[in-house]
Amino acid sequence: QERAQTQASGAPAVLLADSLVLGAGNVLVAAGNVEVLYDGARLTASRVTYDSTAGSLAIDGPIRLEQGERVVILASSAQLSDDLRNGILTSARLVLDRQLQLAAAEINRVDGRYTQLYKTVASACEVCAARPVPLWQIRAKEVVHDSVEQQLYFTKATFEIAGVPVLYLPRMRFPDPELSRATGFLVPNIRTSTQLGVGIEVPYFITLGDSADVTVSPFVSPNARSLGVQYRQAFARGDLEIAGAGTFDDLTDDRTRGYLFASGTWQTAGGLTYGFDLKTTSDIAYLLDYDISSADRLESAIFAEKFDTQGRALARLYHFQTLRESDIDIADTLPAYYATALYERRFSAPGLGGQGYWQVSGGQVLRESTLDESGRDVLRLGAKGGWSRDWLMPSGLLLGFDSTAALDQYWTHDDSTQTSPAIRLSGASSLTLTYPMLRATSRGTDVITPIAQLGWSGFRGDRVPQEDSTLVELDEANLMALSRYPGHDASETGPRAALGFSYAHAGTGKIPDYSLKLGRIFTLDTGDTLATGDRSNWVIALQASLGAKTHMSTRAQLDGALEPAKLETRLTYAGPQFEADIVHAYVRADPDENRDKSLNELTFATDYQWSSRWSSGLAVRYDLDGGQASKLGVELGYRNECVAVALGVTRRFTNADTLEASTGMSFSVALAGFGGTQASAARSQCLR
Amino acid sequence: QQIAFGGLQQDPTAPVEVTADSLAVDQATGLATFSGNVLIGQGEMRMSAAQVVVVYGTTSEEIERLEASGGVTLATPSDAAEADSASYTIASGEVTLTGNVLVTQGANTIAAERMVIDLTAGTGRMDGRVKTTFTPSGAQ
Amino acid sequence: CGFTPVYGPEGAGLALRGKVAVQAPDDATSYALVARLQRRLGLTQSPDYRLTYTITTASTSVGVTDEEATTRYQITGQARYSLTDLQGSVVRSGTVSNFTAYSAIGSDVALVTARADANERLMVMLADQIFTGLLGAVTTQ
Repeated sequence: QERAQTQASGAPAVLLADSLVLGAGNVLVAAGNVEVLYDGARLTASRVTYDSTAGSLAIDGPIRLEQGERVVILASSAQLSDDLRNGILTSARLVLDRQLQLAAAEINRVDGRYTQLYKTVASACEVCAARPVPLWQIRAKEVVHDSVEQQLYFTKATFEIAGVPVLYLPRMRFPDPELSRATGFLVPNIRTSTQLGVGIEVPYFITLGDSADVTVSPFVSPNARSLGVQYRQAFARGDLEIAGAGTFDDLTDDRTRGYLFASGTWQTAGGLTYGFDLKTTSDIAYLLDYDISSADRLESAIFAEKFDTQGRALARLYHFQTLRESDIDIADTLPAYYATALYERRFSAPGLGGQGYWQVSGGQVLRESTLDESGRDVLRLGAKGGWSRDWLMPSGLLLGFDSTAALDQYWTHDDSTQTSPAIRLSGASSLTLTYPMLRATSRGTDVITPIAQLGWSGFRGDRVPQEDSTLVELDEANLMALSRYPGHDASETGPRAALGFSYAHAGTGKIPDYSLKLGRIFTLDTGDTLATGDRSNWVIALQASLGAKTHMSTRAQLDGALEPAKLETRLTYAGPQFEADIVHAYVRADPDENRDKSLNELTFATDYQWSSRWSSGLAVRYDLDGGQASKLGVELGYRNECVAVALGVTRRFTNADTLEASTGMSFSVALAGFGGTQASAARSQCLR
Repeated sequence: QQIAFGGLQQDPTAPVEVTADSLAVDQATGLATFSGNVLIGQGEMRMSAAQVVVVYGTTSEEIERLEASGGVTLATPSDAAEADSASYTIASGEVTLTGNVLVTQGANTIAAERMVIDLTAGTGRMDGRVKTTFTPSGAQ
Repeated sequence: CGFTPVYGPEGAGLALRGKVAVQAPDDATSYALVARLQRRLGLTQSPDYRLTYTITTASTSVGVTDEEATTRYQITGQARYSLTDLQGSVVRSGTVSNFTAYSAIGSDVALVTARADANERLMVMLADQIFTGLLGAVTTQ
């Protein structure tokens, strides 16, 4: 590398002192709070003797030399050039970014860029009289700090923990604390699991210009050798990330395993967002074995979309790869490709009043199998329109009219039971009466909204294949909607009546905000997913939040006998030291949703900051019906001004033949003071 | 270029000439007050001031002290010093400059509240938060 | 009992109706939020207020079987909103949050559609909560 000669700027040097003696022979002695400022460097001392013929400064301490506020040298005496760029400081300490301290008998300044330290001890830990030996330190015969490249070069270095030598390295290079992006080794971490045994991963980070980098992470364990690569690139209006790994292990019978995830998104100035998100893996257990992802299905997509106030336009091509063991032998009958496209325009109808939209859309489902019925491929093309209008009555009543009509045509292959092409005209409309009322009191504002709705839906034409609307939900958001079905393929039929009521209280100060929503649809025929007989389940939603810290949301669907068909609760508490997320989900077994076993699961995740240094976290996923935990995670963290240690244990109780239960442990130690690792702000004081 | 302070050396026993626009002598106190473009010369040193009071010794032939005020400039071939006022005791060869003292030498300047110059030793001492600007030569 | 109709003569609903310009959407989530807000607030050509928002959503797996298969997802959403008058001073700002869920048993085509529908339902909830919050603001105005 060429030696960047840091040119001195034109400004003259300034020397300030309480007194100054002009001696013979061009010698000037400044004494009392002496300060020398020159080209970004600032020196303070008790006495400075300036020999202008020799251009040198003889300085008596205590000396403090600052090069910017991140490189500071403290010394008891020094002999420097008058531009402060060259010279020797004795019994000195180099302090980098107020974190890393290097003490040495002698420090040599070269060209205002390099600082050489001889017989030096480096550490980021506080050294106190009570605890003279820091938690960790590095003894080295010589250390050179390059302030331009922001690197520290150690020669003959011994790494000591609590005074005990642990590691000797003839040569070692560390980025200085201020540098957050430099090529070099990242902090290695140890990962073990029952399958892999004790393994170590040593990532190496390489910067490629200003906006791209690649991280190569070899991982070695008794029965696995893996090389992970992660490439990242930032564009002016987008970013790209490609991560993958190749692995040889003896966990499965196939020799080589691996995965590849690639995702990129770009925006055009016109507001079009396009990109891709591709995922694939060699076998269904790989991502779990190597703790890369716990996904049970891989969804890849190529997409382009644009949204604005006038409407939306989107085109997406999906590719699905299942990772569920039970799906493997029927994989070719599951949809492999799904292409959708939609173009919608919204408009306000000035003459008619209200708002409307028209939309054209299409979808193609492709299955690899060509077996009759189970290998069905379906193409849908459709047009849809909608119009809604509100009327405000002087009494405060709001009458809302909503309507939609759709014409869809389906072409089906590999399914002899389905007529193709099949065409269907469907429509729905509703009249909704709401009478919202409000009361403002000293304790806050209350809003009560009773709602009544009469609706009708229907369709004419052929029976059409069902692909996108088999998973139906009912909640307070779609209780009054024109249809509960999420997609195009299914349509409700017949008249419908619904009643709803919502009460919201926005508290002032101590009193919490809370809201209750309640509703039911009568004469609904969406199969018994949502209804018993012809009445829908009751929908009840309750929310309460106390200040910014505590928040609870609960939603239930109660059947005719007021038994819960679905009950889900989320409780979050975010205190200064303690945070907890508790989630409970209960879904009754339901053949319509092809859920053969009811779901009754409680998960909670907490983390607790015991002190300024110790923190711990606990995460549990507990199957209430099965009466046993399915996942348990414990984390312990210690962080002080010079080290950050993290220990994590996770236990997964999977029991399927390709995924046995496994316990994983991860342990990592990061030395603060090197490469931008932010030590905890809590600088420990030397307690007497 | 260096800061050559040696230039303050000066032989205090050399004869002193004083020229001014006007001179007033007070027989009773023995003080002579020169005013208006007063210029004092001794060897290569020149001191100019708005007003200089000459204090004669008891033998009335020897000048004991010169008290210059109203903005004083002291110049030698290589240095120059300015101050609000100055007092030059001939016998000890000591010049005391007080108030906005400014020593200039080429591009380098030193500013202070007070300065005492010992002409025989050619040294100068400045006090009161001295500020010096100089151009480093960068040599070790 | 102190309640007055929101769309009554000096109700807050009327004060807002057709007077609020909502920040334009730029993705599927904000598109659903804006559609619902515009339905509740009415479209406007001459707004007295501007409504801006930022939305964050997160998805969590629920009902994980012993085969590590996720049978249900919950989507949590939070929207920070701010209603400002034409001079730019804030009339009301706040944060609303809620969650919806969708089951994930069956084909991926049904799952992808149910996920999009769940996101839209979540935005309908947040928009309604924002609307209720705005009613409170205009009343105490």
